[in-house]
Amino acid sequence: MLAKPIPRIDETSRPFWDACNKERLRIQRCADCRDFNYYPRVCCPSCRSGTLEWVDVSGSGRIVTHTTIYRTHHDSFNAEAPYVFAAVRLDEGPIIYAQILGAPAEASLVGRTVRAVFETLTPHQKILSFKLV
Amino acid sequence: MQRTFDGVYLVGAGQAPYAKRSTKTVHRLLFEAADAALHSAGLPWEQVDGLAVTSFLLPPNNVTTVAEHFGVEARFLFQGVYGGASGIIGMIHAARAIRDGDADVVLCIAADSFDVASHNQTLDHFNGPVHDYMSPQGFGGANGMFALQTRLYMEQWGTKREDFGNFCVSLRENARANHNALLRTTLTMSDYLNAKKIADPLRLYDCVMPCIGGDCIVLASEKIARSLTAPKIAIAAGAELHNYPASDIYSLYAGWAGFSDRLYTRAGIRPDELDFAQLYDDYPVMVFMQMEGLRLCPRGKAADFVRDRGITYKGSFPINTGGGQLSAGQAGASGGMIGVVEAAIQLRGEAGERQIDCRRGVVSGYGMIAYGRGLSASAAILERVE
Repeated sequence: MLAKPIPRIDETSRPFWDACNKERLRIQRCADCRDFNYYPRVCCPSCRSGTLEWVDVSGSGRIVTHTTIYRTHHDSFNAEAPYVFAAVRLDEGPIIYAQILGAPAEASLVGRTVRAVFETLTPHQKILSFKLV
Repeated sequence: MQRTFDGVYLVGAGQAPYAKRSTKTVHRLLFEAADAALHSAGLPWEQVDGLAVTSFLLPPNNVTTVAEHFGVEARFLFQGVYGGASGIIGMIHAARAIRDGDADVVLCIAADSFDVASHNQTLDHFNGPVHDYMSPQGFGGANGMFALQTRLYMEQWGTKREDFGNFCVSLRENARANHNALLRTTLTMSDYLNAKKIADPLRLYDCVMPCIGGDCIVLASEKIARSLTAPKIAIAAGAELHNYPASDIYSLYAGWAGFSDRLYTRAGIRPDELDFAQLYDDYPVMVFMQMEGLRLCPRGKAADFVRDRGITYKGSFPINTGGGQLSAGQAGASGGMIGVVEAAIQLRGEAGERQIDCRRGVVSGYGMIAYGRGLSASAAILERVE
């Protein structure tokens, strides 16, 4: 089977990816302005504080917008297509892009509640997805 | 009134012929576009002292090695890192350099050589956010990202597939009068609505066809331009804005809304005084956002504007008169320059069958897709000097 595209994991992002492997959703929160952010950064994009904390969050969110992918960008996804890919707004605020596993193709899903699940990306790395609640 | 770029003129425009397949290298495409543009200006290569180059496939080469390759001694170099916004941004930077006396003749060139596979491959490694947080999640490439934007726009404004279809069908009509457009067969609404599914709500004709080509314009100082017989075009104003608004991926009007007031004020031109628009049409929804951000119509009214005004070269407000990227093809970074070249061709009165009656128009660019949206927006107002 063709390998999936994999993220580059560095000092900035390792806590997120390590938490995925423990099936926990962990994102950054600014120690100063208390805003949550995603994707992992070196400073808070709201107030530029350089002090960010890692916080386990509920993994609950709502679908902002979604698509059913028929033509994939990488052949490693062909076996899964068509599948639903969405922008999910976490209850804590940030938007995360991920697949919505088991969701019906081309149904209207805007506003639907989802919860985080974790799937195998490689033997060493799990990746975040969501399921409809 | 005094304008920012007084004394700088767009004096030439040219293209490397667009093709679905070709063995030409990016350097050759850049050269062919530049050579054609210089020819239209009536200027020799010897007078070129600046280059603004954008090409996704240029690395590990860069604008400096392009200068060496072409044998150009350059006082000004710019390389675009703003994707499809780069063509216009390069033109603006070059205009500043010429205005400030740092160059006299600058070639603003974009070219690339893509097919679907190489386009996806380039996009996968486009930047950190795409590589690390979009691609491993199976985002479906640019199509998936803009399917998300399209659905949100449709939900917000009640827009129908037919509304985007009106736009795409009109562009095809424009392309039929442009011999350098690659898609020139008639496109009907039924063709559009029933085309192959890509990423719902997007189907095949919402998406550009990656291809091979190049586009170039020539900017010259007053001193040089005065000696030319070619028609002169002024840059009445130009602007760029990035990561706007920073806190909202889904503002649905992007950077253009952030600078359009300043753009029109600086140009001393109102939106209703424009004769045409050449907008960045990677996807129809982005054109609608540009129309609204650039105040060609009120927010949420782009579909009505397209339907009521008519945007073909026969309509009352022509948009993308050469067929745009959606019908000409997207030659990578050239997509950010094709609208400027078409604007120049129209303002010079060289558009043949698709010629419109015009004196001024707006051109815009968009690019560097990252976390859920393109980060860079650009635009300029071009006006023929009478």
